[in-house]
Amino acid sequence: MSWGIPVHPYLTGVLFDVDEFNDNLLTFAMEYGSLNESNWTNNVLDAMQDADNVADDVGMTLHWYSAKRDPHAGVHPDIPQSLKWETLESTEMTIDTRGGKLDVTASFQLENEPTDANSAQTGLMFCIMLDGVPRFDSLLGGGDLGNDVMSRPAIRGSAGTAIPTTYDGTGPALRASQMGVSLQLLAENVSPGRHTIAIGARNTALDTLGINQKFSQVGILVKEMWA
Amino acid sequence: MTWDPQLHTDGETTTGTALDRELEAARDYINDIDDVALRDGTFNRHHAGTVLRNLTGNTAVTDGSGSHTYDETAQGGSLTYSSFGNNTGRGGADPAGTGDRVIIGQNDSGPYTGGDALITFPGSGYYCGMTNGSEPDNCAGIEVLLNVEIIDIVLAGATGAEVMTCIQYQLNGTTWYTLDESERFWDVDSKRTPGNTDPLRIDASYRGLIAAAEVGENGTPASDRVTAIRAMVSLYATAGGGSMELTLGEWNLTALAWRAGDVT
Repeated sequence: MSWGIPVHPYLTGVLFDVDEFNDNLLTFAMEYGSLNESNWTNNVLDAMQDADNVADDVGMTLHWYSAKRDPHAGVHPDIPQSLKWETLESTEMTIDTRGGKLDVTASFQLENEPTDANSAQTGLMFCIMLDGVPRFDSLLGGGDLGNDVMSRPAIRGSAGTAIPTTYDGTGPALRASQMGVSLQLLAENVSPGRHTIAIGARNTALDTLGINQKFSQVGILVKEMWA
Repeated sequence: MTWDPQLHTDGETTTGTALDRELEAARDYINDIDDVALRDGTFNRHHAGTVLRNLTGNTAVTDGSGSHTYDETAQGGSLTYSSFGNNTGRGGADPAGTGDRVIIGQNDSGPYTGGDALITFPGSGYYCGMTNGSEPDNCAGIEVLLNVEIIDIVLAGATGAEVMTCIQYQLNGTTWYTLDESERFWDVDSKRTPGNTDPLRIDASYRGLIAAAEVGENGTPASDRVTAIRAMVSLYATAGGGSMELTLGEWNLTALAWRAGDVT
């Protein structure tokens, strides 16, 4: 709808004036060369779902990174053996955004297979990293060694055997021979410009016997929603 | 289109028809506004409405009628994982396809009597990719979300097994393909091992996207439509053989076809 109004209203009983008619036309002509948010009704894009003269990214842009790897074949990247947050190899994606809201979803396969030297594995924590900073609102797993002891974990550590009690106190950190992991982050008021998004990991303890922690099947979806 | 108002001068003979013509020209111009007439940032969330091609999305959920158990023997081998990205699978009853994985919902026992984890898109489905298809569907990609509860596995003979979940998508209403990247494995402790009597209650989840690249692995994004998706399950035996039985609980499968700036 127009937010401009006719400069000269037409009144019953008043002589029609051509100059006034022209002025009224020009008012709208000038407005339609510079349309803004006031010209459009709420949910107007519902009516444009099938239109091709509306920009593709009028409401949202999708960014998608996917790397498929057979979890049971080939060599998979290691999860860094570190007590501080580290980015998982080849999971960083760079996006250019006009700013606003980012909805990030990440999914991957975790492998924490026991080794001959060490049938136990320390637990892990995961989160989504935005511009290199771990976002704890996406955190999965915890590092509290004193709480929530898992004395009989349902996720197995090795074929046919329970996880040794040595690491039963790693609490809610993630640990399993194989498990899928899903992370989600809603970042609001992201500034316009270039940003990096990645999957981060952190060990809750380090083991000198050697750890066999890997990942595969990565998928990261970023829904860039403006305003 | 452009609009060049034909202004009238004082004293010029004019008619109602001429005035109507000007107003009609203004109307036609408004109804064919070029995108350059819009200021950058014109639209905000109030105008956005829905950017979902399938309106509110499509969701298939368990009806809460209880657990559902899958027996490898009864499934005729369709519960024994064979290879990564295998495109076969049992999608319905008796047998409606065979392969190394079975659709969630085609159980062999248990109180569950609900439907399958299957979503068939309305109409003819979607081309993935904003410029694909003879008539572009304006669908950048289909976001898929799956959650399913793993309650128990029972192994007789096999000394280890992983539960596998994955998504399959159908092209052109005919052939099913596995979304390779969606395969997830869950190495779980058998409920029947000594000392373990509690149900597992593990939430197996997957989040991902079917974009033009994914369709391109098995078809042609510009000419093949995604018409349906389904959630599949299987058991990957890590050691030994013998029968295997899997029990699942609540599940939820959602598909969101997004209109968006094309996938980068």
